[in-house]
Amino acid sequence: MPPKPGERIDRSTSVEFSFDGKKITAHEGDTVGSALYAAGQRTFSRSFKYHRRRGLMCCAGQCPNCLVAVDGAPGIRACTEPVREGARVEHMNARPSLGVDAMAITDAAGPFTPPGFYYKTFIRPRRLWPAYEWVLRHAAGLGRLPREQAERTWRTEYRRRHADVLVVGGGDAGLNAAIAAAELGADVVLADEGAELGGRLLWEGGHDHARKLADRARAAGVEILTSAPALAHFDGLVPVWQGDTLHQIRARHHVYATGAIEQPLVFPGNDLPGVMLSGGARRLLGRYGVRPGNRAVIVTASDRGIRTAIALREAGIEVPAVADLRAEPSRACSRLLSQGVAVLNGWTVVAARGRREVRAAVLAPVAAGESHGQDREVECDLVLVSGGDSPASALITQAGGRTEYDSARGYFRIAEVPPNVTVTGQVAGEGSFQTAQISGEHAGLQAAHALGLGDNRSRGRAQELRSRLAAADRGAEAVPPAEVPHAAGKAFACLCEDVTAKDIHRGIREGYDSIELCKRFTTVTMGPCQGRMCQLPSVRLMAQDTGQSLEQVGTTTARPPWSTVPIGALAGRPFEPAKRSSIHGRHRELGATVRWAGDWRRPYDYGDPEGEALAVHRSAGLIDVSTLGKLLVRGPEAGEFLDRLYPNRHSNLKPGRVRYGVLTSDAGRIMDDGTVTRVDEMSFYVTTTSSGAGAVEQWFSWWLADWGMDVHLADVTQAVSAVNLAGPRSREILTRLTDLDCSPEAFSYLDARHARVAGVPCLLLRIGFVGELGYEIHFPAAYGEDLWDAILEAGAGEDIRPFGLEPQRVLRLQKQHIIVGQDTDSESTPFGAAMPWAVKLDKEQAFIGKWALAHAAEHPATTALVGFTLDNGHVPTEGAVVLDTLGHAAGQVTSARSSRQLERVIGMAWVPAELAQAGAPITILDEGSRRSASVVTEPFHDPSGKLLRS
Amino acid sequence: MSLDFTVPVASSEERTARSPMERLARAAGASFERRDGWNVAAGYGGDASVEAARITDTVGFCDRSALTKLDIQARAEVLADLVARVAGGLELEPGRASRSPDGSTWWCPITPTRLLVLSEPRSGWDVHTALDGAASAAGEQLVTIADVSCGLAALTLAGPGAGELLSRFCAIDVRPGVTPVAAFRPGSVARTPGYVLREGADRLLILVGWALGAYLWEVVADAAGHLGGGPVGTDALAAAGGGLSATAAGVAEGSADA
Ligand code: FES
Repeated sequence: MPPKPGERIDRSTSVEFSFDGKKITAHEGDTVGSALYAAGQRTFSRSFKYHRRRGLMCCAGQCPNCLVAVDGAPGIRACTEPVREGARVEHMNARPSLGVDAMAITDAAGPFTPPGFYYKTFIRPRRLWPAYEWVLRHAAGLGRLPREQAERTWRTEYRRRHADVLVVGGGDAGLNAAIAAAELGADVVLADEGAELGGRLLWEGGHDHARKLADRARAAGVEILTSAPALAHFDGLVPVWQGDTLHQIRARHHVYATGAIEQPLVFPGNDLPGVMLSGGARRLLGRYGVRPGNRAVIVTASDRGIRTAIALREAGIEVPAVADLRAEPSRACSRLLSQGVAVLNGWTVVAARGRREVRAAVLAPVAAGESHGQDREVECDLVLVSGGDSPASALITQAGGRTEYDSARGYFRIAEVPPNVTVTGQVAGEGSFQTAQISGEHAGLQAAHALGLGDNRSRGRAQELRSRLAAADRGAEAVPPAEVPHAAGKAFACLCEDVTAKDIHRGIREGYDSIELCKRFTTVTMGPCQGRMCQLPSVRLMAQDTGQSLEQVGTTTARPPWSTVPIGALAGRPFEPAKRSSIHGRHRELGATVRWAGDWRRPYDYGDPEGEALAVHRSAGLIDVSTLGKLLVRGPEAGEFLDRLYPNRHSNLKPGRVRYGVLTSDAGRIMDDGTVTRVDEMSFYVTTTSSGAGAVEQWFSWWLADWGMDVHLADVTQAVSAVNLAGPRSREILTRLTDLDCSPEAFSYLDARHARVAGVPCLLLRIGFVGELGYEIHFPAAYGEDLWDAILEAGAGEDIRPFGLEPQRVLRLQKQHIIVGQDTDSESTPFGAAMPWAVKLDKEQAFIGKWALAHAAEHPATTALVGFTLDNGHVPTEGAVVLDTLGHAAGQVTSARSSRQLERVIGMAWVPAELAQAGAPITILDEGSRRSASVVTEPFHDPSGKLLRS
Repeated sequence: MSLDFTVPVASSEERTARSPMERLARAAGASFERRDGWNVAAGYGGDASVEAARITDTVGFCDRSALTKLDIQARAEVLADLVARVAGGLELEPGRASRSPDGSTWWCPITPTRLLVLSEPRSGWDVHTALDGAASAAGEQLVTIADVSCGLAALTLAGPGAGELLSRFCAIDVRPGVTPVAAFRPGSVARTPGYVLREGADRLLILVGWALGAYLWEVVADAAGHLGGGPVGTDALAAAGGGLSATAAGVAEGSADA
């Protein structure tokens, strides 16, 4: 077509891309769809079920007809995808080619494949279901994704945006709303799905006006997001997808100017390439300079189609007939009539004819019974339909709005919106250019006023706009019939899912007679158009069939997302909050295998777990235990506070002493364990397990708030790093780094000391989880690497080795030290876990779980936690079943390892209480094999604790 | 003091306090100097104008984990009295930090009975000592001063794109009308608990757990790179002004780059 003002393409440029291997030349500003259409392509895709040819329909990204794959990414709408140099565009859902699709055979088999046929057909014989499933899965679906992808290649982003007002829709009304609100001082974001602002103005001759409005909006400070569809409205959060960014917009007020969706009509052949919405043709013509056809028949329910006819004629396209569903000609028709165009009032289209493309339209009077004998077949290569408008209300109903059927206009109009939502423009029924503008400005003022902005002048202006709106003439529209019965052929109610009018009738006959049931049975409204094209037609069909009113039939729930969005955009950028100790970098340099441990990254081993464990027994080892939970509990009542929380006593702990504590729930079950150190009269330093730190902190805070004691709590888990220096040579090594007297007499087992180690202020605890002489050294996290290096350096002559989590697990197992959560579960009490000494029922102070523990003491559990050994070298699986004497499952293995030091397999298990005696034989059922083991009730290594205390 | 083991003050010159972001800053080209006992990323490469331009034109991020951070707990009136003694009559208002009259310290109320105090390491010790003194004067009243300098990693976003950068990983509304200068907001930062303090019109200080410092750097660096920003050293940040008054960043004590 010759250049036209307002077109989007830049004819001085050229862009090349390929479609199914064929080179296509386009202009900057073209979409893949417009370029292909200009190059003569009419079939863009094959339909979902029947593999029928489908061509451009809406040219606005609202139907399923132009889905293609671009550079391997399926499900892209050709009509909105901008052309890109070198892009590889391919058709989807047709094999071997778009022109010859073997699966088109399903179209001929249509009568035998109604909705639900495969539920009924493939149920028998049941054993063949896997084969059926394979076939069905390969036949179903649109597009293909790569089976594997090593790395995520598309970087997507979330962006949180708070605003005073969010305007969704950048047409005439939306722009006016945004400007009005921003000019009154509101912080406004405007999101529009189009690449350019202006909506209908752009292809209906108002492009200059649109440009001016956009400039005004920018000047008023409106943040404008284009090519940015709003996906949903979740409790005030509106996600807007724009390229690689998902804007999460939270606004105080929402203005929806989402427009209306031009509706197709239901008639046989309504899916043939060449049957298009009138708006689609106008977009091709006005925006991309593409001639949509040579001879067009127009069928319309409003002046929209009439304006299209005028525009086509101006562009030199022949219009042999216009079927206007309205009984009387409108004022707009006079121009057409004066040009000699046949305008048939009260007529509609009853069939489109053609094989690959439209060749003719069959027109007939709308009124039932009148069609016989009056049909008129008109040759054409384009049938442009405009079956009325349906407000794009999905986001508004998600926001809490309500719709009701408007019988005069034949659609579901917005009847009610929540107080922080305003609707404007076509979606609010203000579709004419004049009213869209007024209602837009009014909506913007209303939004600003709701936020407390504006003044008397703006309020006066709002009043004036209201009066003008009340007086406006909105023109006449016809309500199209659900369908006009006519010749045989598929009349599609839903193009996405290939649901015909007949399918809806059949669904109703089978009892799916509510719109929601019908949706689930036929899948109508469940495809890529999300009901834009099929909701209203299917409701009309249902009403016609059931005799209900459209109001009674109602609509389906509008669920997110309203627009197609790649999953990658929803996923956003990966965030993986990984806690790393201050020594983490050094561990990596030392060759540690790092694994997740709770929310921490921890060294599992340094390549030789057995050797690392042996070093602890023979010389010394150093492990990073910074992940332990660490709490400061401080105040005059701190001792009593801990006495209330733990089943043993802490108030009588002397400053400089450490005590083990197991935390129990109200039910007396083990929650966590760790140490309590009294650092001075008022202050206790509590350690917890690594994974339990957060829960214990919350538990303490919760009870502190409840009891209101004069105690302060500070979580210093991340502020304080800790290492455990353990092994027979650890004392010598430590002595080289500190002035502290480390002799057994001056610093004995379960003592705590303040000292500088390598110049760093430290709290040293003489405790030993790993069963050898050891020192847990706590210090400010900022010195992690320095202190670690200093200790390893000081121990170099003693063959000190760093050791990881795995050797630590072996070492603690040798001592039968439990790991809470691994060796215990939600039913374990300290009595069952062989720790009755950790409970002081004679304590005068009431404590959490006291009643339950007293009960447990009187009613011993049926199982008990014990150690065991296995002689044959087999290491049972953790979780393997322990059998009782009758061969019934009666317990389970919680930990098991092979110990190099002990040269045997050791473990811990819950066993029947009667077997919890040293030497008792037990049977372990592990992956189908029975293994004999013996019970060991005291630590495997250093049972007397001599080494630990040395 | 029995809680010494939480305070990052080493007696040996050999020991250097290090930020959890140090390795990442080094990988990004930072040059380090030992200042006030900390290894500080003073700058990135030779051309200081690049860092300055980030702060004026796009967005820069700067590791400020060396800040002294004190977590003070006491009854509301005791806390107010304590602050009055140490910093004059500052108002403690939830959600709003106060800068001490000499500009050296931010006093950030977390709850009516809990306060986070932030200062440059150079003045941090003095603040700590003054608070200890004031706490003693509180007599029988329980006051707990926990040094959490190593409990919270800190990063400043500076430049006109600071808010935009924050929006890529945090939902806190930092529009100036909602979060004006000195506003202090607890919230989720990059899916982890944290605080945001608006230090200046174009300057946001983020605090998260120390062990998540490296993670925060990775998140911020990734997003900043996407927006045309990058890391800046403490020198560039100090030169831009607007931070705590001791941001002169101390006197270099020699290179600790090794
Ligand atoms: S023609 Fe592209 S979505 Fe309708």
